[in-house]
This record gives sequence, structure tokens and C-alpha cells, in this order.
Amino acid sequence: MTDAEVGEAYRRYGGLVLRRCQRILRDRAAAEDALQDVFVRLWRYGDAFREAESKVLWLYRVADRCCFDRLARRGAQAEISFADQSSALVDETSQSKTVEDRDVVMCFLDRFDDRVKQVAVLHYLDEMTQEEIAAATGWSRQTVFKKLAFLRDRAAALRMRLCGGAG
Amino acid sequence: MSLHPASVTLERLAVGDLSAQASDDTSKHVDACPQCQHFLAELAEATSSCLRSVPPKRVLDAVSDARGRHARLMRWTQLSVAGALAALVLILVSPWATAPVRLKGIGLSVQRKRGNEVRTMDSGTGIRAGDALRMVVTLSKPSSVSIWSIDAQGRVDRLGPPGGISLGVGEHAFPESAIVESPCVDLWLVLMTGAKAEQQLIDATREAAEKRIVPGEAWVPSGALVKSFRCEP
Repeated sequence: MTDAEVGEAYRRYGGLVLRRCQRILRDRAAAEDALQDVFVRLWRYGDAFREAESKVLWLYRVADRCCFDRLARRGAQAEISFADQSSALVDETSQSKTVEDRDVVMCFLDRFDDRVKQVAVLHYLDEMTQEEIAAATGWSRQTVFKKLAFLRDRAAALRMRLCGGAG
Repeated sequence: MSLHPASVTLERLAVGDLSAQASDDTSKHVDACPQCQHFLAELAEATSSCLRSVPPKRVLDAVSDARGRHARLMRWTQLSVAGALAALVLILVSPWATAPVRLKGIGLSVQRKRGNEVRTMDSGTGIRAGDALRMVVTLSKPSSVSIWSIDAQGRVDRLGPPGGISLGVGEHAFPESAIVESPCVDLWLVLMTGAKAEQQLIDATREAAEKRIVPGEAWVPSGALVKSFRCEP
């Protein structure tokens, strides 16, 4: 892909990609780094991008992969960051009195394996239905259903741990 | 279920990524829905804010750096191949090379079969679901060879029978191929020799998992030969 094509794609889709990276990573600087990774991969795999039926969904899958890689690298620090994340969430909770499943799951995304991460992002960020997630990932509906059930269980357990059952 | 279009549908609408029919349907909803109009307005603001905070030049500079690294890697690869060919020619035609050539060490090369295309893997070759990975093992002495795959989710699979396969000196196609599952996850192929190889690998991977080390080369015991493969996006 030429620089001009990458630049054009960035002007058109860059905002969406950065917003997504930021929601997954919850860190502006890390999201900007992931954004650059995405467009480097776009340059490298430009042919696949050109052939993609949906450019946005193609870029989102790449962005998810870049973010999951960063979350995995961050994983070793998960225990340390757990306390920080917990207090941030509880502070929010004290204002809203409610912690949504989405907030909890996205906050602790780095604790799940990549398949569960993918389902979490498609369900909570993209608001896809089970059928749409199954179509997007190629997994069976049964698999998607099980992973969503697992996520809800984990979210409930984390909420209980953070808020003592509030929300 | 929400009566509004999914957020990803609105995001696609904002950049003209929907089919004509889907775009019409979604636009009709948005025209009558203040909440979705608000979402799109915020999205537009976020997009312009992104272009202000990360200007296109910064992204193009990152692409340019990657291109430079890729070009250097390709040059090194070409030089290495040319050097290896030159050395091989020298060995084959040199008058003093009277003794038979002896292989030193253990080698593992991997070929990717995708449809009817077979390609030898190098550092820049990616994998995707459905690819078959065929291993070619080179030995300098008869050994019992075991190969495992470790994927990014921490799944460890042995290829071939328990205890490994006894192979003689030379180049051998490993009898079992690895198939990349759907969805694709990055994976590492690990070759070890000797009767204790399996136990060493089990111990190393178990210890790494207990220490919550991210699956990858860090899971592999020392002395093993590792090849890593990244999924194509």
C-alpha cells in the first residue's frame, strides 16, 4: 500500500480505530501506540484490506489483535494494577451506584484469554448479537453463548468483589 | 435487545462503510432518533479530535520506520541466502572437499500449505486458520524427535506419538502436520530431542502457566528449537 493510501485510510477511519483502542486499553498513550501498529499492519497487509467487504470491521479486527497483544504484555503487571483499577471503579460506583457488566469486563479485559476478549469486545463495544458474533468469528452460537455466560458470571463476581454486591 | 442500531453499525454509517440498503435503513432510524444523532455527533467530534492529537504525519512516520526495518530485513535475508548458496557452491566444487559432508546440529524448517500453494515459512510469513504446517527436521545424528505446538492461549499439543519418533541422520519430513485452528491464534512450534524431552516440556509449560507468564517462547525449556508464527490479520 502506498503512503497516500495509508494516509487516506487514516483520515477516514483513524478516529474510529483510536476510539476503539482507547476503550479496550483504557489508556490514551497505549491506544495511540496501538493505533500506529494498526496502520503499520494496514500498510503491510493492504491487499487483504482492499478485498475486505467492510473496511471498518477489518480494521477493528486488526485493532483488537494489536490491543490484545498489548494487554498480554501488560498481563504480568495485572496483580499490581488490580488495586488501582479497583479503586478507580469503586470511585465511579460511589457516584453512579451502578457498575455495568461492560465497565467491569472492559476494566479487567487483560484477565481473559483472547477468545473471551474477542467476544467481550464484539458484545460490549460493538453491541453485536450472539448471531452476529458467531458470524463474525466463525464460532458456533453455542460457543458464543457459553463465553457470554462466562463473562456475565465473571462480571458478577468482580462486582461483588469490588462493591460488596452493590449494583 | 436495543431498538437502536448497534454502535458498530452507526460507526460504519458515519464513514460510509455500510451497504446501500443497510445505510438507508440506518439513516432512516437516525433521522428520527435524537439519541443516535447525538452518538454520531460525538463520534464526529472524536474523529476530528483524533486527527488533531495524532496527525497523519505521525502515523505515516511509523509506517515509514516499519518499511525501513522490513527493507533491511529483506536485504539481510537476500544476503544470507546468497552467502549460503555461495558457501554451498564452494563446498561442492572445491577440490579439497573429498570427505563426505556432515551435518552439524539440528534444523527445523516449516512449510505452509494453503490451498494448493506450498510455501517455506520465514519470519515475514503469517498463518491463518486452515493452514497446514509441515515440518522438515534435519539431524546430524540419530535421535528421538518430539515436536509440540504451543498457542497464544496456552494450549500445548504434541505432534506425533508419545515418546517422539526415532529418526536417522539427514533430512526428514515429520509425519504429522499442524493445522491452524479457527480462529487463528499465534503459535510456536517446539522441537526437542531425547527421551526426557516430553517431561522437560511438561514441567516448563506447567511452571510458566503457574507463574502466569504469557504463552510464547518463554514457555519453552532451554535447549529446544522454536519457530514462532503470527496470525495474519
